[in-house]
Amino acid sequence: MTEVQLIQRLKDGDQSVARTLYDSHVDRVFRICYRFAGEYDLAQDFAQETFVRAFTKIDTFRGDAAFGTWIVAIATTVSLNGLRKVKRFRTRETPLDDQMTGGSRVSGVEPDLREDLYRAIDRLPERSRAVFVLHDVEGYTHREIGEILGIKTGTSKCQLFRARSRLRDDLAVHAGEWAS
Amino acid sequence: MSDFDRFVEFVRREGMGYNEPPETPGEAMWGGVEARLVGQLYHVPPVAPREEMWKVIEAAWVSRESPGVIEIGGRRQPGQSRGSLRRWPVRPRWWTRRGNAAGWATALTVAASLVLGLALGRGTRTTQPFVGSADHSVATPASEPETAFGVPAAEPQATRSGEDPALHDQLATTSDIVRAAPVVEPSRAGGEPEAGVVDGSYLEVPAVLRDPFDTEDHYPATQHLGRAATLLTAFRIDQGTPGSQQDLARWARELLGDTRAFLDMPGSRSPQQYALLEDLELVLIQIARLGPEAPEFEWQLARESMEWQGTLTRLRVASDLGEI
Repeated sequence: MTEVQLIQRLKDGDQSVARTLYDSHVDRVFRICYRFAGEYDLAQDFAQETFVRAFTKIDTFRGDAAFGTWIVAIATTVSLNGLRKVKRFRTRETPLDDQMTGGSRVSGVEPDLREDLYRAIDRLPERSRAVFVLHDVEGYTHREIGEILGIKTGTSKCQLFRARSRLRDDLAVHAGEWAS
Repeated sequence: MSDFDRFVEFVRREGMGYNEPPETPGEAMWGGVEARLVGQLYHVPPVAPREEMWKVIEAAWVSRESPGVIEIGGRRQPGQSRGSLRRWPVRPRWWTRRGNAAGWATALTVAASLVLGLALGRGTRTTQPFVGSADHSVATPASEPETAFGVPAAEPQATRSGEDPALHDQLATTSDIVRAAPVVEPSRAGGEPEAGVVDGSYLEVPAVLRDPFDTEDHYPATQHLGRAATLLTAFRIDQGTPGSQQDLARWARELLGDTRAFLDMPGSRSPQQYALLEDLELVLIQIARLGPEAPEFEWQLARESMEWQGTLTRLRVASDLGEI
């Protein structure tokens, strides 16, 4: 059964297909929520809220965009609104080893530089941070980001440029280290 | 490759580790999703059968009332049967449905309440000073003696600092002092320097004398909450025209500043009052971000946020009781 058919059945009131849709998209939704929240419990809460909203508002899904894009848009909005609500723009005071889940990422970059990069990303304005995370971290295209955030492609590019420039300014003390 | 390009490459490479997600707890989360869905779907009211219900109400109404009859066509002529006249059943007017006396009494009560309300409102406006924020009240130039509400803003600077001994003492003993913007004082005859102008540039005045949440001075906060309640009501019933959407967003931005000012002010607010202001701030942020180009789901989220938190109801209660 295709995704379009699943969605139509859900619109018709067949709630048994919700699990199938959930399984198809839970990974990407949780990823987005975690990228924005940075906390396991908070990300879980946002992801659950995303699916609840998507399933209860399925009638409003017109199919203009892919279901995956639509649900990521909801996840982004839920996460950003949720972060505003709980005001958990966390401070990175825990050791780096605790932050690096799994600790599998190995690179020649100084830990201080990486840590400062993450702090700088945290400090980005909300919209710039959203565009930066979606583009440079999660790999979405500007067109997809435009659909997700409800902005024009050019605006997305502009926000990304601002985000990168601001990051570069914030990391000025490490000038040149990234070139190595 | 330029330096900026190298930086972008570095950011894209190292950014992958930013909030790197762990394994998705799919099963654990599904339990929560299911529970919330069940909660939301429990006894979901169907679409109200408005037409059917109205027909039943109308039928019951007509059967209980004896409809009046207007005879049209002049007086009945001798020999003319009553049935030959046109008859128009008329629906009784609202003020006559329960009898003339009761109807007029109700109308008079409503009118008296309106008059009393207006009188009270006017009295309150003229007796309470506007103190939207500390900065506003202390830095209002003397050349602009009125606030946006048409009431006198702050007292003249000379009265505040130089000529009122009691207030002068208060100023001298208040530890929380801010430097306000330069104040242009009206010149006196004789060319003496104005009291209150320190070195011709700054005036020291207490910053927290006018916390709107003080029990004796809560009128501006109450008024602000009332305006916020009006905005949320308008937002709830908005038809979604581009003009109205822009107006709502602009209105929300205006109120957002005052809300944040109230949030930032030191004071002894209860947790409930603070939570209400925080919830209001969130809803205002959501509305302020909206506009004609905002996607539909953002409108829905803003409405849901407002309904879910019961912000409008709490605002109405707080502004009616003046408890905040």
